[in-house]
Amino acid sequence: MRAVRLKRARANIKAKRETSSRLELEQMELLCKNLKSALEKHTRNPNVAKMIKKNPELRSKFCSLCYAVGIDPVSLKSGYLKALGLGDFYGFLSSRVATMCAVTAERTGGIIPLPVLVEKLNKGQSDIVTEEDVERCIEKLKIFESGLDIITHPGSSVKLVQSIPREISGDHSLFISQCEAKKINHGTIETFCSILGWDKTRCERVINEMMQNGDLMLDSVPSHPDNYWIMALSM
Amino acid sequence: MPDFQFPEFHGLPPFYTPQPVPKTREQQIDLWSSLIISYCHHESIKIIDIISFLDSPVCNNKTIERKMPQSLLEKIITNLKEDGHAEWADESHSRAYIFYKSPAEWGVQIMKIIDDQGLLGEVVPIRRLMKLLSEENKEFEGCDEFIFFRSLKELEKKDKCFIMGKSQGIVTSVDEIMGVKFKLG
Repeated sequence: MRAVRLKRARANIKAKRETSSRLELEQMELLCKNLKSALEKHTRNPNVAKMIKKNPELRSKFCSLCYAVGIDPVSLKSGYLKALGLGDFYGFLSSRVATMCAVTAERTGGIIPLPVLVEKLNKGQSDIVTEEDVERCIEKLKIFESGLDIITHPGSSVKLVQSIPREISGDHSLFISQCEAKKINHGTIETFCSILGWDKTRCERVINEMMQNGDLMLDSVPSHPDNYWIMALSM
Repeated sequence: MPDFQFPEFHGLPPFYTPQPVPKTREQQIDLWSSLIISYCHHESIKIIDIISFLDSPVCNNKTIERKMPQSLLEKIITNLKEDGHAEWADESHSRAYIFYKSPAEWGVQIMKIIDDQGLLGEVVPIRRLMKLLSEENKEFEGCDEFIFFRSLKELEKKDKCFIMGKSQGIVTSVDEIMGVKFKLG
């Protein structure tokens, strides 16, 4: 008797589970359908596309939503999301990023801190772009072997954009990111020694290498100690 | 006319020190070269005196207390000379002509106008030529006789034209030219 009851109870539970999961599925489907139609409705509204371009915060949220459901908002070629023009937005921004890097590379020696790059891109523009936007573009540009890359030095939060492919030693990127963090764009050997906590030999070696690469420029005035200017943080 | 807008590098001290690294120095000289050309164009300066130009707002930045050394300015002029945008005005290199457009660049424009007007193969009297050029292209009004003469000489050197003097001997200025024959092809 007990065994039969148990069996019946199990069957009951199974049936309940199936109904509930079917209900859940139906609910999910409905939710997805609603989401899709809401999205469709919004994307048809030209104001939404405009807002996404204008508002960096909304753009960031929208992109993370897309990534969460496995859609790449940047490479949308067709479908209703195309109307949002995010692909065009990033395409256009990418070409601006690439141009800006090329233009500044000659003077900065090919390294530019991400915040500085973003600041340059936003100069005189009404639509503000964020570091996240620019990072996304640089990721995409890698496909074209653009030579652009983002390097982060361990122990530093400053991201550096490298635009001329070359070997950058840890010391170089540490040098630039520490100075960026301290908002210093020039100094004497002594200044840099104290900022970085290096001894004079190490400091001089790195300064010498960075001079050779065009990352630093010398400012020499009679009866003053030589000053070195970090081009990436000065122009 | 609005005040000349100096580029960003003009406010950075290291640009006033001749850079020890050759590649950086070349870039430095290139930046200065184009600054000097556009400054002189903006201020309608045709000829500069090296010593007094070193005290002009271009080379002497009082805000950051940096002044360009004469050696650097001389290197910049030499660089400008190489691509035809400057020429020493005297043997002692104390003055220099600054050309907004090089004689070669003017030359290309002259040939284009002559071609457009169907004057290739013709002899054009010098006064008519000058009138025609400034009518066809307003820019020629700003082209003074010295550089105009240099442009014609440049064209002659490239075998694009033949300069006919008023008298026998070498022609040294526009006044001594009677006409110019532009060659076909």
